[in-house]
Amino acid sequence: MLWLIIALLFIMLFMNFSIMVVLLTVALLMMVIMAPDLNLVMFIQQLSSSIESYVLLAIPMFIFAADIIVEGRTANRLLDFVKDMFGHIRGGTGIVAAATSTMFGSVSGSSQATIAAIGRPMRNRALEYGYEDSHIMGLIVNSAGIAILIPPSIVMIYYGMLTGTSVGDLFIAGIIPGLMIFLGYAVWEFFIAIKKDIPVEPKATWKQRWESFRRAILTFGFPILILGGIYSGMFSPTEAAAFSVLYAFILEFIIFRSVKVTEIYRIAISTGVVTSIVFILLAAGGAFSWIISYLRIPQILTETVLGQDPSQLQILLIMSAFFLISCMFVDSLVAIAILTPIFFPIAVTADIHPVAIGILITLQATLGTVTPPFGVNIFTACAIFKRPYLEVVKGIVPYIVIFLLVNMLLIFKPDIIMIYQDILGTSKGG
Amino acid sequence: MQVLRFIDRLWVHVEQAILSITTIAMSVMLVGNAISRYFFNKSWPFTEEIGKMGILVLTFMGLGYAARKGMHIEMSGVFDLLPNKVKRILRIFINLVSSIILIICTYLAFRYVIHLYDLNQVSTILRLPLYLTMAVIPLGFLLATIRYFVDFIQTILVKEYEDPKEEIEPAEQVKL
Repeated sequence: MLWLIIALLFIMLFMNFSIMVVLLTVALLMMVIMAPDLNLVMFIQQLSSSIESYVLLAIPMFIFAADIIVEGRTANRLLDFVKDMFGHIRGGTGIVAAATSTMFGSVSGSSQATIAAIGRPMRNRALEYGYEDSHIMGLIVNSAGIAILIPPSIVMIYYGMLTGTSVGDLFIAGIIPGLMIFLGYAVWEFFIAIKKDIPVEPKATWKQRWESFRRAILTFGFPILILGGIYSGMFSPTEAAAFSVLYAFILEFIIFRSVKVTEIYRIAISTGVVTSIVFILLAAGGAFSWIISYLRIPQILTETVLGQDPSQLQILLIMSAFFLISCMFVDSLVAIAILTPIFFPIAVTADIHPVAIGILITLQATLGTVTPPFGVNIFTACAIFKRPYLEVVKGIVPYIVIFLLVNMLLIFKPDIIMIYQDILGTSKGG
Repeated sequence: MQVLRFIDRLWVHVEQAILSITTIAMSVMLVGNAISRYFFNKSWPFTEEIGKMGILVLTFMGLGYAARKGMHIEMSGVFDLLPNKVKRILRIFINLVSSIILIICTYLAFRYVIHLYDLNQVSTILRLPLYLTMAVIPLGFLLATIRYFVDFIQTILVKEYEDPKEEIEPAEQVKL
């Protein structure tokens, strides 16, 4: 019976039902067939209790801040600054694209917003310098993924809420893996530029650099506000998110005046509807997760795949594989809603730090958004650049390989993730 | 028919207003609370409760609007490859099944609200009756049901099928 329901889930997904409807259907069916003694009204109660959380309020706020920023000119200021600093290095144009995405990640918690904001100017510039279209599109799709690892990150907020892990710690811990992947991409760009003999951009003078730094400096307020605020205990993550809305508002509406104040109404509609789309998935995913754990499916599943006494590495490998494959097919938040309650307790008993688990899960979520056939970033890039799917996919292979290498390194040596504690000088715990 | 169209057009504006005003109000409240706590050492006790209500309102009142805009997340990879004729039949089927599922959810949510009404529970701080807040759940599901049902009828009536998804602005792309 269970297998039939799981098969139905996949058939409905492939038939192009919206994921919300699929989850609602499957969860309700499971309740009716496999747990007929439960009152169906409890299903609705689970829907609402899965999203009624003060921590999750941070998500619409960060989306709102990013929406305001995408409307404005902040992305271009960042791009100019990074270009003046690194544009003259071999492969500079590619490195600039990766670096700008990484920096833009500290403003927005989403890779799609990053593609929307910096994709087009970046691609135009790269084409001018003789980059192949599929090369630069592959790079943009993948380096936008780094934005998920660089705080703020919606995936991390949700994971933190589900497991009670400190969102502040997760935010800080994401920086090192994010930079590792950026470095991997930068080195690759450097060598590919030598091999293909791509011309370099002219070097900017120090005066130009200072000028573009001055124009971009206010953008650096976001990471300071978010990380500094949360880590010093001044704000909760939710308040930090609200303050980044305020900061984005002040930047774009008052200082730069790149967006009209009356536009705020329209921008907020977009934020509201995206919030609805994301949260209905969280609600349905939460209810689905509740019913499968009521039926003790997770226990059965983990005993079958993990055996009796799995090692730490086995647990991490299998956990990552499950997350990666699910994130490739469904929305990463849905995968996290369903899989985290299954794997988190096992990983914790195997003595893996909750922050390390969270970062590894975030890595799989990131990789899922860039991997064909269903990676969301690919579709976003197709829509924004108006290029065919296959052309976008062609260029992404080397970046996925680099990502996988970093991913494997961190799975084998999760201690690297915890280095942030030594840097900050905090003790282990919590 | 004319009246229905008018109500429909009016309703879009109502939905937009609900989404936009809730989002803006929540940000103002959260910032206000943080400032008040930091500078005046006084938190606004209702922030958490209103914030959670705001999430419920956004989530469920946005369902219908997102369905109208074709923005609910789907795995359209296979679907996109199909010829238009098959797409149309599949679309009719999807819209019908979706509206059936959603009307069941509407009914269950309605029963949940009735249950809360009988219990007469109120929220801890503002003493608001819980059933009022939760009423957005059946309402949201009902709106989504109507939307999918209207799409079902429309896809049947229209012989020449084109993908009904409106062109989505990059800023409206789904973000994770």
